[in-house]
Amino acid sequence: MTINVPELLSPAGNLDKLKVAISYGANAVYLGGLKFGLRSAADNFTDEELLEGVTFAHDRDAVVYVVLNGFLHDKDLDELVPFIKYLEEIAIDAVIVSDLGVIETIKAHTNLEIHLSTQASCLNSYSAKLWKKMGVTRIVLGREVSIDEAAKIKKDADIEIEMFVHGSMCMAFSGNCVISNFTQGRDSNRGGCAHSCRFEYSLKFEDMDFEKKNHYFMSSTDLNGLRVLEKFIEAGIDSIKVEGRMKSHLYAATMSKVYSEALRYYKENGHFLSDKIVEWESELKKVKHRTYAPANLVEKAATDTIFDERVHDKDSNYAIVGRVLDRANEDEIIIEVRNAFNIGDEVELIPFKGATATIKINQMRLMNNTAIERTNPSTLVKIPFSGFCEANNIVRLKVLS
Amino acid sequence: MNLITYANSVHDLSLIKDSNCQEVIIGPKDLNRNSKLNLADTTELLVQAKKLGLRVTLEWDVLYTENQIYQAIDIFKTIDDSLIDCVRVQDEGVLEFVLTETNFQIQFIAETGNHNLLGLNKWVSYIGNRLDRLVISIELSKITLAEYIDKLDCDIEYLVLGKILLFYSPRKLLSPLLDGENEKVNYHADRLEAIGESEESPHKGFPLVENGHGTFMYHIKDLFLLDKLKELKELGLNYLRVDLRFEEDLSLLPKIAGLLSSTEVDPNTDSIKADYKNDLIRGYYQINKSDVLFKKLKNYRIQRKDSSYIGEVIEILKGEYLAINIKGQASLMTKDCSLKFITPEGKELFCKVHKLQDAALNDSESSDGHELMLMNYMSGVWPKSQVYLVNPL
Repeated sequence: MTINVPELLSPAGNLDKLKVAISYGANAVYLGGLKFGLRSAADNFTDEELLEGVTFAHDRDAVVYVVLNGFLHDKDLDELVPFIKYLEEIAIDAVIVSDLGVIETIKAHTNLEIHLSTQASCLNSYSAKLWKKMGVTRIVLGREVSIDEAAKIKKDADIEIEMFVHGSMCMAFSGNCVISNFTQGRDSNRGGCAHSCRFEYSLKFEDMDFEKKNHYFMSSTDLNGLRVLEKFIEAGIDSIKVEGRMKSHLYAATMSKVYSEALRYYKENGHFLSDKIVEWESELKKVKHRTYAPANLVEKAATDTIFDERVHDKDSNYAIVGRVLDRANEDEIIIEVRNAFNIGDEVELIPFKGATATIKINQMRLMNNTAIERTNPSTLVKIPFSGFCEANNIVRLKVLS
Repeated sequence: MNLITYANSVHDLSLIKDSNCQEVIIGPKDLNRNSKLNLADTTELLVQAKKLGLRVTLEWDVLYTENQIYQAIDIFKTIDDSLIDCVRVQDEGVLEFVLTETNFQIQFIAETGNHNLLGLNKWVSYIGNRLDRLVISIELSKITLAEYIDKLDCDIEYLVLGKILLFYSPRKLLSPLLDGENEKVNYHADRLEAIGESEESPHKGFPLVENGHGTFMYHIKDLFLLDKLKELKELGLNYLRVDLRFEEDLSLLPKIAGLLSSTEVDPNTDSIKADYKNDLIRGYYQINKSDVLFKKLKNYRIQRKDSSYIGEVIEILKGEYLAINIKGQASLMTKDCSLKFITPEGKELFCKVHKLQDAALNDSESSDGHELMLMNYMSGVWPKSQVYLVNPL
């Protein structure tokens, strides 16, 4: 019997991260062009990079969804038409949209498949039925919806359902926060979110003559759905999505690898009764994150889903040191250095599949073969490694918390 | 131009009637974000409103997940149909329910997003003859408002006085702060109010409310457009909404109604401002430029731009080489070719390739098939500079 598992949809903040995510196992990626999305500060994709990204993905049987999920104003829609025609021309697989005007524009000018963004806060089957009539073929449900509720929405509305499985969470209903608009002059629903919910606040309860100082009361813990992956599968969820287009290459690699391995394991075995789950969980903790919680996936998010802290990497004790660019010769690989490391360090090379390889750094050379003791960020370094590796493999280092 | 507001008591209804308003908004706290009315009080208010001859709009503006919407529908069904003229909704699921399973006229709250005519027109056509009016976003400037009033085939409502909602979360965010505190702190209350401030924000004093539907945060200043009534009237706006639910009562309403009926060219709003307890702003009414800062959020100079793209400089060893990560697919870097570099600062530099090596430091004629190439050093080029092929020098 064939077991169906959801598509794994990973974030691709730029072309390099797209290659990383797909190489590490994502069978779908979502990304933004230079406009119309919600991440104005992300690198995003130029038209040329989009074409290259789509080619890279399709060559590996992966699909590409382009986010157009801003709440656009009239002048934005005028600029949208040539872009969506271009997206159709380069054969992207779907667009992710939250605004009805954008949906109408896409329907009028292209035959692109339309997915409804979580930004539209579609939370129930009545809403799903409405959006289906508007022309969407898949709904990315709001993060307030449980997996059980999602199963019912899918059944009642007879539509594809995508749900977030991992990553940062908005504390507000998506699309229902305009703090940045009115305090920073930046439209959060067109890509200018200033993350005011992560600020430290003091609160006065005047009726009670009571004050509470220095709390991050609006900041949410991070979503982690690994432990309930089986519920997603049983509910027939079509796609599980990882948040994080602004996050690192290490994040893109780790999420894509862990969740794709888990889904593959279930497809082959029909269960998660394995020590592997502890291993995967441990891997997820190695990337920078706030406290993990399943948020609303099983029960309504309770008070323990407030992340009342600033620092969010205290229990993630690994850092990316770089990515493999090429092989210098049979015994050496070239790493593009992101964070410094030293002679004597033990780094871990994460292959696209299988166990990580530990490399004890006993010598390092610059590209001109000068021996060095310590690397610098934004440099290239050659380290000895004769095992199997490929371009875009990520190299990480255990660091002190 | 009609004035519309909320009622929370029979006394409010009298003031509304005395202010010559034709319509009132009422909502039970089970279905409404801000109401303090239980179902029995709501029903009583609906009955009284009808007796006074007011048109009654039931505001049902909570957002619901799948299980919650069915509970809300059950509550809605307990309200006597004959007491309601119209239902005001925001959740598209609630809209769909009211549209397909009831016969009520609908006021659709399109205040969140919905900043283009095409989308609003689609809502108008979708709701069809059941649409009573669209409640549109205060982020739309007066120029856009004028265009929409002219082009949308429905009545339009716009907030002119009241709190500006910034944030709506389904989670309870205030009560956890009171856990473990002493007895004077009543954290079991079904409604908590607080004032928040952050040193990281340029603004201080955000009003916050937690109730059964979650947590709401408002702007430190309230929207005030009552001094623009003449302009709004000329634009042809159908409904002005005044939200005094955070004031002690509706005692300002008759004065506001007086502005509307005034024959003066420019009626004075100073006494209303003086009696209103909060600071005031005009929001985006004059102009909305909330996208102009976007271009400062990243460096556009380091984005690749055309088909002659080669790649990105990823390392420089002064006097020795430039290492280039080959990224472009359309163009090849060859020995003796000419390159243009655009630095992160936007400077353009030109250079001819006279030394080209692959990752193994073997001399090479072309970048074909390589991820990384080393070329002769060029002064002034920095990491992250973008590399383009140009015609031979």
